[in-house]
Amino acid sequence: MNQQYLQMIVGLKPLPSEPAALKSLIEYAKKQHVLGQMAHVWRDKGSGKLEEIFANAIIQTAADHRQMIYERNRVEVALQGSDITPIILKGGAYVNLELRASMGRRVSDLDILVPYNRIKTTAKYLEKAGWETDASVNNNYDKAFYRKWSHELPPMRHKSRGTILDIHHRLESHAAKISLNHEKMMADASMLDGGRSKTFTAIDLFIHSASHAFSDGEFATPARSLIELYYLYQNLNPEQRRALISRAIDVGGLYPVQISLWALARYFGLECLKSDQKVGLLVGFAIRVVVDDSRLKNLGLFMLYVRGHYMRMPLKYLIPHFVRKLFIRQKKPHVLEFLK
Amino acid sequence: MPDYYPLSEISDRHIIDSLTADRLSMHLGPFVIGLQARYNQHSIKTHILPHLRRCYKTVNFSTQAGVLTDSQVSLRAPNILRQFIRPQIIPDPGFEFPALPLPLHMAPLALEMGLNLTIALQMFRFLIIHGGVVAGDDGGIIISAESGGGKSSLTAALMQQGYRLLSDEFTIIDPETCELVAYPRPVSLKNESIDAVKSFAGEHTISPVLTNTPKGSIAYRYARPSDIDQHQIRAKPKLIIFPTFKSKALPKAKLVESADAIVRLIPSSTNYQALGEAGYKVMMHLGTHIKAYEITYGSTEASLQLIHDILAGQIE
Amino acid sequence: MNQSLEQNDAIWIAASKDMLINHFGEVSFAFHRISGDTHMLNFLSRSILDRLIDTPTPAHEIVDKTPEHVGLTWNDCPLPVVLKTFKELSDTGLIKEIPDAINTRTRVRA
Repeated sequence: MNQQYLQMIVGLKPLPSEPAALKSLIEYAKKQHVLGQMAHVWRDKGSGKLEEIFANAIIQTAADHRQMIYERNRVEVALQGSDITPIILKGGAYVNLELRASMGRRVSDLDILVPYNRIKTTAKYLEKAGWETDASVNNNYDKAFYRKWSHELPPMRHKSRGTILDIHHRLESHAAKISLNHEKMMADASMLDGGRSKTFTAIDLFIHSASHAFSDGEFATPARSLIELYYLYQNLNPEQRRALISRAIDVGGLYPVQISLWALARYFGLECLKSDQKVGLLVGFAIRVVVDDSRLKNLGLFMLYVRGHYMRMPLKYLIPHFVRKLFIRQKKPHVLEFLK
Repeated sequence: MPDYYPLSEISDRHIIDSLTADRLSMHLGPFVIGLQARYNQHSIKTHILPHLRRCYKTVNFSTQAGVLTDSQVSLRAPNILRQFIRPQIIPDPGFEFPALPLPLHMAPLALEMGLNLTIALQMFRFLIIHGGVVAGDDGGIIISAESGGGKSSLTAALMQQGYRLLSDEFTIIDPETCELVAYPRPVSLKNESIDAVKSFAGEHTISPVLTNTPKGSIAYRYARPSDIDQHQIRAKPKLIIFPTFKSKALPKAKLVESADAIVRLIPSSTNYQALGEAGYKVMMHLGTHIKAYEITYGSTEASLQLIHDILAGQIE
Repeated sequence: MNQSLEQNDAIWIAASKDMLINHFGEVSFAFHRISGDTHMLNFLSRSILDRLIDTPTPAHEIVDKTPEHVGLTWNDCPLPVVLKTFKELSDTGLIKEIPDAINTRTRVRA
């Protein structure tokens, strides 16, 4: 069933005419955070409540995009006078490049990549412009964890705008088994208009998305990741598609790219998988059960999750972290304004 | 188009079944909201159904599967323990929101809160501002105040004077036309307002009182059948009131400068930022074309007199 | 931003396509399309913004002519206040510096 859903969401198949089936699809899209993307494909083709639901989703994502474009501008302004040209990653890149993958997409945090030896300077310039370390990781324990094991600083939040900025210096964490050669990808990055920040090439955007979806193991919103990969793949011209595998090998992302191509072939019917490329049986199974939402879903998620963390950290550090994390309470904001 | 009927024409059995099966949808104003209750039949019948029957008697509902909704509110226990032991209820509007668990018998409050949450935070086709709206034949009065500033008593009093209730909690404005959109849910009253409104509207217009809620005592003044009948009829805004109730205060009304009115309205919108340019244009329209007054009063009579004087052009 | 704005030769501009402006007597509102922010302007910030709409102008010229434009003397409209207002406007993004612009006085449709 879900295989059909993905194709309907991107417009490869028509929407169900039967009301209960249509409602199921909408609920699925909502839960998977892809309703805006679906709306972008199908707006003005429906009527009544369906059209209103789509219109609502589009207004919401338009607000996200406005904020994302402005955040990029604010980061560029903040880094003026430094020698740092950040690379805008993922959703931020798609939006600023106006890629198909950005249309109707919900975005919130801005992710940037800077060289490891410029991280401290970047943080300093940003702090001067009003960003501060996000309260949720502001306790010492999380900060230490982030610095030692993670591929990014703790997230920063802007004092007045409240927006989140993630600064990366690698594309995977130190302990990850699969690690992209970010230096090669950074070297080939191209300038965005205005000349103060960059994005990866179209091929590298695909590779990064693939590794983000499949080597992290979190795969919490499978539809969103797969749809993203679908649109990013569509964004590649034939020459780029032919160069994809060799570039993936070159930057150390072959495994996630293989899985992505297999998933695109399976879920979108794309002719992109060569017969000599294999996908690990266990991972293929795990992904299938998660996306197809079968009763084995929890098992699939567990396998991916443990694998993800296993890939991120040596086990001896992993267990104490899990145990300690459970007992740190987060403060909840006040809800009483909504209570009469 | 789904089949829908006034709630009074739907049996208890059907309501309960559709609530548990996530098939109940409320069709009021511009919104279709799905309702779900994850409790057993007895709990639903005892704690949720009576409130629906009292406050939404003539509102259209559907029990069909597959009805498209703008959003869903799920009433459920915060965790499995609290489903059975000292049962609690939270409204889950389908997005991450810190929940304040209430005892199950406060289900009416949870339901109203859930509806408020979803309207305030998930609807972007309209500009949404905290505040109530009533309308006469020649236009709508926006009563702009946060919850519990005397706004609801004033709303109820104006209803008594013959104004139609468009809504109590939210001012809903269509950005294309700047018209006020009706969403006539019950008027929520707190503490002293409950008795005050009972005295001029009659006991039969007020729901049973919930005591010891996080905000004190709460009760609801029902929307009348006439208010609900006209739920698809919009109104042109003609007046903005910023009310302040102060015990024993001398009645006072003052014209509020346009810029001031705008500065007060913008922060009281729940989705102004998300609407962007469309929201800005609505605010500029209100500031340019609609007069705004600040009123201070110590009694319902005084507030009504002030509004009467304003409408009669006697305040400058 | 350069501290000695009054000597600053940098060219500034406000792009009319980037904003909506509404006036209510002494107070104006500006909606900045890029940030989605709504700003409230007083007569001083309005004066600066008005003169920069689609008109590339050196910063020092804007600063110098401000009291004259609002009908006050430097006594009533001190330089630090003008500079602070200029900076605040620049922080909003409503006015921006044109990097490497040539100092001409043409009115440009930005």
